[in-house]
Amino acid sequence: MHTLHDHMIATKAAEYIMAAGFLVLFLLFWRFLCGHPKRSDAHRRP
Amino acid sequence: MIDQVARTAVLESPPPVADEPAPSRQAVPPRGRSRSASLAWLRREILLGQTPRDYLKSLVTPFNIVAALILCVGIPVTIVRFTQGLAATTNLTDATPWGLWIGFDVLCGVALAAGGFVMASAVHLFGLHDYKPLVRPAILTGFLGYFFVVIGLLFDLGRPWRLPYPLFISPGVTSVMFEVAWCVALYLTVQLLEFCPAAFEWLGWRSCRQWAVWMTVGLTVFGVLLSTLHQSALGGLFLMAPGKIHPLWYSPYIPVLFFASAVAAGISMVVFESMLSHRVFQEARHSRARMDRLTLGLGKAAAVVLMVYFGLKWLALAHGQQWRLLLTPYGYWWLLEVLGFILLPCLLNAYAVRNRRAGLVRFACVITVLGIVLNRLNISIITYHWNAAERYIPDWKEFAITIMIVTLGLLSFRSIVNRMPVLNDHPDFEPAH
Repeated sequence: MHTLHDHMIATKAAEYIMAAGFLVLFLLFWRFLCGHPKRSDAHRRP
Repeated sequence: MIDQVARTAVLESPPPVADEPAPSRQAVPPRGRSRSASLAWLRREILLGQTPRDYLKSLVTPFNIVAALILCVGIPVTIVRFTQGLAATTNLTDATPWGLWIGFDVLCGVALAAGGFVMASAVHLFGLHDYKPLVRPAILTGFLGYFFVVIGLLFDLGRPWRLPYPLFISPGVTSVMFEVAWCVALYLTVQLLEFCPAAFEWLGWRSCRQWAVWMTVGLTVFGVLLSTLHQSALGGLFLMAPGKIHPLWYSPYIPVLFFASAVAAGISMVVFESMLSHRVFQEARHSRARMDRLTLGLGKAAAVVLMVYFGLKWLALAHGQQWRLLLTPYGYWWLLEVLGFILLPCLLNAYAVRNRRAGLVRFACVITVLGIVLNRLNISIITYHWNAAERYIPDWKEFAITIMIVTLGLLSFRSIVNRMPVLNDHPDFEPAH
């Protein structure tokens, strides 16, 4: 039988997993944002 | 909105007057100078180089006519408010003591005025000197924003003359409102001092201007401290109403959410305000290419902050364990706010930065500003007392006062920018930093 303590641990675990997932998402977003910008005129360059 | 004639008057030098030398752009006439010199200064700096008759004629513009109509409604309502009280002008009750004036004028006003501390700290503390042209407009927007927040607060207080009471007479040191009161009062003073260099340049007070410039870094540090405190404390005010705000919007982390969203709102307001300023006051010397580059930089910053805010909103939801409420009408409303007004502008900003599209950044910033306004109204009005039988709907007079306050803010901004060196450096002074 699940106790209140188990429930609290599960809740906290869900929060930490979500925070970790968000951190990964944020790093990917950062890489997308701060990576080399797309150059639409790249083909014209020598 | 464009005061064409006033703008032209700024662009062009004052019209030559017979038998009178062209007024030099110097300073307030020192003591002992003739009365005509004072009048010339008044005419040049206050009437924008026109005769009183021409100046009055130049005021007849579509924007001014609309503003006059708004004031024609707002001023009588103001008289009713201060002579007959809150009951005659608002739908506020003991159960809902905070309405539109707190929700929009105060909460939105403070959040949207955050651009001042964001830009000042970026330039003066983090050394991003490229963004210097945006600092003065941002500080002016911030100062006027806070000033009209206090005006809005005076309307909302039952006894407005007791505004200084929590500061000096009966300080409730354990109340969040005590902190908000002190921080807003101090920050308003800090912003006034931060804006002083522009005012002193306009007046030609060189030594005072030097002192004001010398204080800039210290004031900026103090301003960041005060802003961090009261932007989050405004959210903290709602910590005492867990049963009144809808669970999707209530969170113990609401102060953090308020602070993060205020930073996003501040950056977006700077972009929005510079977009409007450079259309209305076209005398700004900064090239469009440079403004686009600065806008893209701000769009990048806004994208990062919005992504952090987006993550915090979901973490707050996870902390409250309110997932089941997402599939209710209020849940759809919450999803609209989070996906449509946080994630969408964040992704638009990121896309625009990657593809060098400054126009798209401006569009995204407008959505962000609307999103922050929606968030503050959601917390203070729309989802407040969400399960009560009787809901608060603002009276038309409350809207009239709010619109009047916004109009007064726009008129003040335009008047100051038309006269003082806000968008451009003063030609007689070295740049401040």
